[in-house]
Amino acid sequence: MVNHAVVNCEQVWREISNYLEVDVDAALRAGMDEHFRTCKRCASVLEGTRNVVALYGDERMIEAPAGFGRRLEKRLAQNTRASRWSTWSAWLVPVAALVLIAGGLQLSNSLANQRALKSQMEQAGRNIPPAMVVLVAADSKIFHVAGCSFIHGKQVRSLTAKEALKEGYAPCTRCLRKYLVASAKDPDEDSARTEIEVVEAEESHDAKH
Amino acid sequence: VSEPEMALNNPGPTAGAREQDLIQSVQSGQHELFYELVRPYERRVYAAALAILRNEHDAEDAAQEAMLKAFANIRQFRAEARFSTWLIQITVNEALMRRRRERTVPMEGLDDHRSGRREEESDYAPCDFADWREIPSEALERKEVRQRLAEALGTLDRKYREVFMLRDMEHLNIQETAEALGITVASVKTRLLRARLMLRDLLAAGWEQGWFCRLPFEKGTKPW
Repeated sequence: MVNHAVVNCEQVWREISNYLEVDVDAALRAGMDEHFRTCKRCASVLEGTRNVVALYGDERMIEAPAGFGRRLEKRLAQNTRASRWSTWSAWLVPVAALVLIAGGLQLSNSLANQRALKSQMEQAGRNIPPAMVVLVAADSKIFHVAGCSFIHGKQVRSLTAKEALKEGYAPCTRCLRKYLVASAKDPDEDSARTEIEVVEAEESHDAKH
Repeated sequence: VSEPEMALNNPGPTAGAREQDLIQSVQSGQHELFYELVRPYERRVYAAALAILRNEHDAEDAAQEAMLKAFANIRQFRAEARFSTWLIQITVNEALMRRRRERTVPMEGLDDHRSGRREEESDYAPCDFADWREIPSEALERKEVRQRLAEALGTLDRKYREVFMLRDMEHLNIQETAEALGITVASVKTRLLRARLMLRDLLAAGWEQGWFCRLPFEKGTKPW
């Protein structure tokens, strides 16, 4: 049996909220229970306070303005759609970045794999038979086919076109003209002009030497 | 713990499991389910914002903003907390932040770190209504009664109204109420006592004036 504390009305009022919260010790609770049995006024305060808690705690006391739920749903829908896009974009951005980086790396690798040009005047060749035997002069950055007047009288060494390209030599604009990129679209198209130019170049070359 | 509180805070095994499923679904990316998750609490969220801001337009905006913040932070929600409490706390934060920022709500009363502490700690003597009678819960079906109760609550000082609202209407516990408002547990208890006794006095007076009698309303003559 719990001994009850003797409490007066002021103490009851001070603790009545804690009493409803079941937040008073056993002795005080017993003392308050005893007090409520004998004090009509405090019993009224207790019932009234309990009534307040019950009434205001009822869900019907909480109201929202008309259309509140609909407006909330609409705003949430707008934001959840935006969020979905941002989720996708959050994935897309790094993925796109990775693709770009990978592409960039591949591009830079392919560029790095190309041999460095030895001459600023050179033009890239196309479809030059890799096994074709070509000649390079010791002090030159150009490779030629045998008989090219540009290597006339020079000390040369022979190698394949593939090796020459790999070592950074460029095709001669005279003897390998038809393989140059600029004229590679149709090597025969301007063959007549080429022949003329060749003759003129030979004459000019011979005159210099 | 009162029965309404039990019902509000414990949605039951089926509804509770459904709520957990919804939370996990939203957390894993099914964002379209978020409204379904928060719909049972939308009125409580609005009411919490209104209790602090006291303006319907601001309260609605704050409630919506709080829901959006809850959505944005749903991954941070942990199952050990009650979802409803988490939502209400976000709402209270949002409303308090707005009130501090906009300062559109007139100051009421004084905070306890100023001169209000002495008043709060002083005893409050309830009015002597010895013939108090219980107001039947059916009375809440009538809009006029709900309105009178809301008006009575509105007459309280802000510091009492907010604590009462969070504890007795939103059903946060004492500790959660203290955390939401950034005050001590002791302050919550003191303010809650004062709020309950003042409302009891107001309602008892209203009972005497016939607030809760059906007859005057039916005759179309309001007693106030």
